[in-house]
Amino acid sequence: MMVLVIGGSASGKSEFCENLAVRIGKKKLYVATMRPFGSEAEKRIKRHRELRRGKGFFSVDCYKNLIEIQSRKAYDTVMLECMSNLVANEMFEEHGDVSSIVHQVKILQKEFEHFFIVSNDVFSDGAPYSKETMEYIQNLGAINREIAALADVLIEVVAGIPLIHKGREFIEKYI
Amino acid sequence: MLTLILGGRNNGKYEYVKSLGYAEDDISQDFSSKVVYKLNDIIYKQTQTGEFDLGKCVNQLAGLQDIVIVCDEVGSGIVPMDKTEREYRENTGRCCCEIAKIADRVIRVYSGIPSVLKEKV
Repeated sequence: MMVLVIGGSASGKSEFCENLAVRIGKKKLYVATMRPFGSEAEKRIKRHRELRRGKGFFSVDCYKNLIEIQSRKAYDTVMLECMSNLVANEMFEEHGDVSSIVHQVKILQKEFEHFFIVSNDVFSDGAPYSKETMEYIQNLGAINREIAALADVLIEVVAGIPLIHKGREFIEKYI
Repeated sequence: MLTLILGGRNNGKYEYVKSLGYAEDDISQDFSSKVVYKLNDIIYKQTQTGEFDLGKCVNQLAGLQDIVIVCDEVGSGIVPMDKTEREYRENTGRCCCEIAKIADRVIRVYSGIPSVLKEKV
């Protein structure tokens, strides 16, 4: 089952998704995509680590080229945290390739029994941005939509509360 | 009874509160009013001055009886470059998560249409 969980900043999406993965998965791999640059990123990463403590995840870092986790065949469940950082890394770092993300997700969807993807809602502030940032918003939006179409379940998290947009029949018993 | 009303800016939260029977005098940016309106503005000011404290804010609101809290959803955009703006979004989001946990009802108003996200029975 592939589950896409989307929410704004500080919406509680990560904690919600972790708890869902704990209820559904057995051997769980947590894939972190945020580069630990600067004190705020470190603080954020630390907060996420605290949240995950005791939930039984094995954590790996993957800043680009998501397909690398395909070799982790001992796991039945993968949680990717999060797509918005992965897209930024693939767009703005050297040797990045944002165009292959969805293709890689398709392969991993077949590889793992349960695939949880956390992504960000960055689409509603209505503010004008630079060309680069607008491209980022467009890419993330397109990737969210393509993954939502492939996913069995699409959940939006608002203040820690799930709104199920797709696949209620698959997920309701776990919420 | 604690009710949390969420929604993006200009989605009809104020009109919804009035439809619940509250008068304009009941609605203000004050923790002593029946309806705490635009909690995000209060958090913004406290974030600017550095006095915002998540635990304190939630405890204060949890201690009130028969209160309606109205808050804009502010997290659905690009992470701002400015530190205060980033903290404001973070503080508002976390505060809403915590209030939603203890709330009896959570309502989201979207284009004027209210949906119940949580209802304690």
